[in-house]
Amino acid sequence: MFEMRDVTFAYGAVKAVDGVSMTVQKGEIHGLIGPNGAGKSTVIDLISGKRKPVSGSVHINGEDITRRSVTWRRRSGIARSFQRISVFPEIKVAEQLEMVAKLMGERDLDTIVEALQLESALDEYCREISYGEQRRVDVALALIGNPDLVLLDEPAAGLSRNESLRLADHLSALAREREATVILVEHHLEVIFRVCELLTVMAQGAVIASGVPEEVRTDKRVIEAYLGSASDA
Amino acid sequence: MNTKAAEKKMRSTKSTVLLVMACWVVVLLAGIALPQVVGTYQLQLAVQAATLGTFALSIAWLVNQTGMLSFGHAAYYGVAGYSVAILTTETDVPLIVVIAAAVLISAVFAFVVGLVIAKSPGVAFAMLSLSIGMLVWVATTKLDSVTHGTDGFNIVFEGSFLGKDAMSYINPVTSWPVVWSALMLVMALFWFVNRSVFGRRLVAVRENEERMRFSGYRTYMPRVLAFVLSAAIAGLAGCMAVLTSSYISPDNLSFHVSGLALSVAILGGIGSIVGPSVGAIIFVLLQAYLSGSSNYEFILGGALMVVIIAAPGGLAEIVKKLVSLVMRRRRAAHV
Repeated sequence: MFEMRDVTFAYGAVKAVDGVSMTVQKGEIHGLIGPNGAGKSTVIDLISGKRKPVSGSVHINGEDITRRSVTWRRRSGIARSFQRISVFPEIKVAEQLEMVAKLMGERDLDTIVEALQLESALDEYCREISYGEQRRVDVALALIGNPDLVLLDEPAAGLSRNESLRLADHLSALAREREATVILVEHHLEVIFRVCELLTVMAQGAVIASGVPEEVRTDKRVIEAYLGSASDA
Repeated sequence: MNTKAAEKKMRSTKSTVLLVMACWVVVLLAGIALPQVVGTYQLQLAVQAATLGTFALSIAWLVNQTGMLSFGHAAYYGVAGYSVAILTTETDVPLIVVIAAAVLISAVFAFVVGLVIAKSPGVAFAMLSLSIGMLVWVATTKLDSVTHGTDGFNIVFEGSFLGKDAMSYINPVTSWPVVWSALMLVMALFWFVNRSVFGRRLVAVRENEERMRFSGYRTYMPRVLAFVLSAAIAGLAGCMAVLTSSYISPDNLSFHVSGLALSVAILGGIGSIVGPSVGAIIFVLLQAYLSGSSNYEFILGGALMVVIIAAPGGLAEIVKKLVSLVMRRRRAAHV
């Protein structure tokens, strides 16, 4: 089980995350949504260790990991993808996947490659493959090593509708198969409603609602802050 | 991933390694035979080029493999050189042990420096390396009692080194096989390191350090170790320079020396193992045949500009492109 307790973070004088608390049960696919600047990516950074909170704490399976390093967290089963694609451009796809697999002791790389349909890109340098394939490599790098908690920061950004939905299906199938907990930040609401069991909605650094997608869709504060046009549609 | 593909890859890797090793042996032997075909003056130039090539390669490898651009590598070149001078003068230890100790001292010094500066990214690292280089240079000019100050050190080698009178290495006929073999061994070492797991991980760190950390890899110590390896090779080049000249002074540690080595590496090709030596040969030839009119600095500067604009991969890249063009044309002619 993953838990954030009253976490606050500021960029200088601007509070990006303000007293956020959140609990995600094992095996859950949990959506984190909100308008631009709501603090979603900062929450991902705080969980993955890229940033350290000003106050509050982050726990996994009861252990306080707030001050743990990025590498410690990754080795302990917390992995992430990035809003801006983060791959190794000058290294062939197969080599970079194998390199990370070796580091993380992953034995079943083929399943990830198949699920994310990366077979045809394996012999290419990452800089040479399409944007969609690069996105999938970024997600694959996060899924290697059977992590307990996978943080996906806008994995469908820049993809077409069909590509996004296909990726969502692959992700949810893979997460279920590997019994991973997933926190998914995504602007593409169709993706969110397709795969997430529970949602947390943020606005201006704070949590304004949480619950099952049906509840969240009808929550007045959410409609006001963010979902108005989507729920109308 | 795929077993058949992995087996095929392994077979091709094995044959590449064998081919490169065969080429390496041929080039090593051909180089050792150089005194049979050139005169003493040309051999003297070859010794200078091999020493400068080794030093330039140490800087180029570090940039290419880790993205760490050092403007102060002459410090490690000089620390090793001064260590040889001081240990030879103050002790009776055999020269081969002195050289090994000098390289080790340079590596230990680089380890301490690396612990401090290897965490800094990009420009900050370059500026810190420059500062360390300047500090060491100033120290050699001020510590008269140890370094003989700006007068420098005239060294009298005693005993033998690799079966020959140690002092005879001032003669290029004696020193050439040693400096040439040292350069070839350094090239082989870097070639193997680049292909090793450590080498590939260094490239990944250069490419995207954040992603490597988020892949569970601690990036700090590998960067320090790469810096130490590069500095140790710079130290070896410093030892070769002292061995073949019996002299060292603060001039050997100046920014000019670091800058020159970096320039010849860029000219020859910073991304290639052979490139820095090609750049060193061109520089030494220009210096030897045009130095009377001081045109060589003008020509070197011009060549550097042309290379950086037209072929950022240096002369090695131009040669590589020409070879692949010829191969393509040949293949097309056969079809």
